[in-house]
Amino acid sequence: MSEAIVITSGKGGVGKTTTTANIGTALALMDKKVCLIDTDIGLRNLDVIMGLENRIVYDIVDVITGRCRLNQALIQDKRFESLSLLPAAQTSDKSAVTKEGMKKIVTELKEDYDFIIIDCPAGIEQGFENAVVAADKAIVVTTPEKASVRDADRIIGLLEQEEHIERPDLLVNRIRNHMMEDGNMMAIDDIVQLLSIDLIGIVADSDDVITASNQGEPIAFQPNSSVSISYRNIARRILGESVPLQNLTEEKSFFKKIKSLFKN
Amino acid sequence: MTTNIISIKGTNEGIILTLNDEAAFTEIFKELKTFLAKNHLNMKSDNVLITVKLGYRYLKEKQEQELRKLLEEEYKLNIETLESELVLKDQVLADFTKKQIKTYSRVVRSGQTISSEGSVLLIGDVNPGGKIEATGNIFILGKLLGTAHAGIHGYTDAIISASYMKPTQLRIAEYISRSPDYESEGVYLDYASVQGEENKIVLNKIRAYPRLEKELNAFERSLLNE
Repeated sequence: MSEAIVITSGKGGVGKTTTTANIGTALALMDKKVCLIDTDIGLRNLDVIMGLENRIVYDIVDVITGRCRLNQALIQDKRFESLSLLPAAQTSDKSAVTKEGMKKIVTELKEDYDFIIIDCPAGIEQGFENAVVAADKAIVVTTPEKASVRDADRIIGLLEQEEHIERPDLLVNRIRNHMMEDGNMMAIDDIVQLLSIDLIGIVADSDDVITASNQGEPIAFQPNSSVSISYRNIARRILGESVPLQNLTEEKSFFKKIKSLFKN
Repeated sequence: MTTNIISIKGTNEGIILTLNDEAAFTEIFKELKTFLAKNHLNMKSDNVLITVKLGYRYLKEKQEQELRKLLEEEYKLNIETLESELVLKDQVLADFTKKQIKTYSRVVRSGQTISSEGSVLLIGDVNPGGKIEATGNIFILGKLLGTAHAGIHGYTDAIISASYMKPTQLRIAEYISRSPDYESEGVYLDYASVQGEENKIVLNKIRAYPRLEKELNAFERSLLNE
């Protein structure tokens, strides 16, 4: 049974594309056949983060308008055979992508892949509708900031109206632990309570993510980094395993422990 | 001046014409016509006011037109009101919904609105950016973090109550109050109502609500009736 999962957030810049790339990579690492679809027409990024920009010949608009076959547009990942990318168009007209076109592509992909992960553009307009129309599941990405949580709430409301999508899951991205401990950032519990959907994972804010993205190598490849483990845990949860939430607090040194004792 | 089925009385305010509500309209109309022709009321001025009392009769549109034509055009009488004891079904239904409590069970998320005739009971939260409005009272079994507007058509006695209140805005009829600009804690089991000479929206503990007993009894009944 293959599944189409849309990664969405409403607000821009919370890490949808990074999440798509990493969850896709993590699933591929677990021997699943995965296809990533970038639906952010005009502002494509997924190919850059995956390091596949130089291999694009055809894109999603070419497929929908019939300029090429779906197989011709798919780019196989340079690291995995089981991971492919359907890139967005950078120059073509946005309106070329239709709901029917998206549905057709996803149904076709479902025959060959276990997971189809759709990277949704920011906003709630046509692009969002196109990304969502063929999905069975949704993961809503938010950061522990008020504005981002507000937009996530709006998006969840819209997703609830799409009957073909299961109840969406929540991913809290870019957690800065020291800020959360000081109470300067929304606590994860508060976010989950407000949005009242299930939490599928938490990911810490890390410089390594940016470095990895710039190198075109999703961080989920790295075996030992904390962020990489977070993404792998999310992939395992998608596969139905029950994995406890990671503890994001850093190991405290002896001195720091004493200090925090006095603080309290 | 009275016959079996119509009666006409002159008063200081004008003429009162009572039509028996048990007779057929055609009969009454015929009777009225002959009656008026016989006793042609010689009016000095054109604008004599006449009140027509219909009893429990329902006038169809065509019948009303005929009646108006006869009285206003042929006899130059000025119909002030057509009084009927009858309450129309739509009116009754409208009154009924005003007193009803509608129940919803969901989360009102950012960008969503629940709008209801009568009072509303929400089992769930109103998130920031979400809105709940009703012509009557609003009861929330959950957190009110968004905007609530009770008594939207101007019912100032409406109240808003919630298990936990930290609203963006509270509105009752035409009054608005908003949350303070500093970060504040919410309150539990409070209700908001318009109070005082300044007509401000004030928060109070639910257990202190003076009308509560009466309102809740009505509320209980309507839940039992469902």
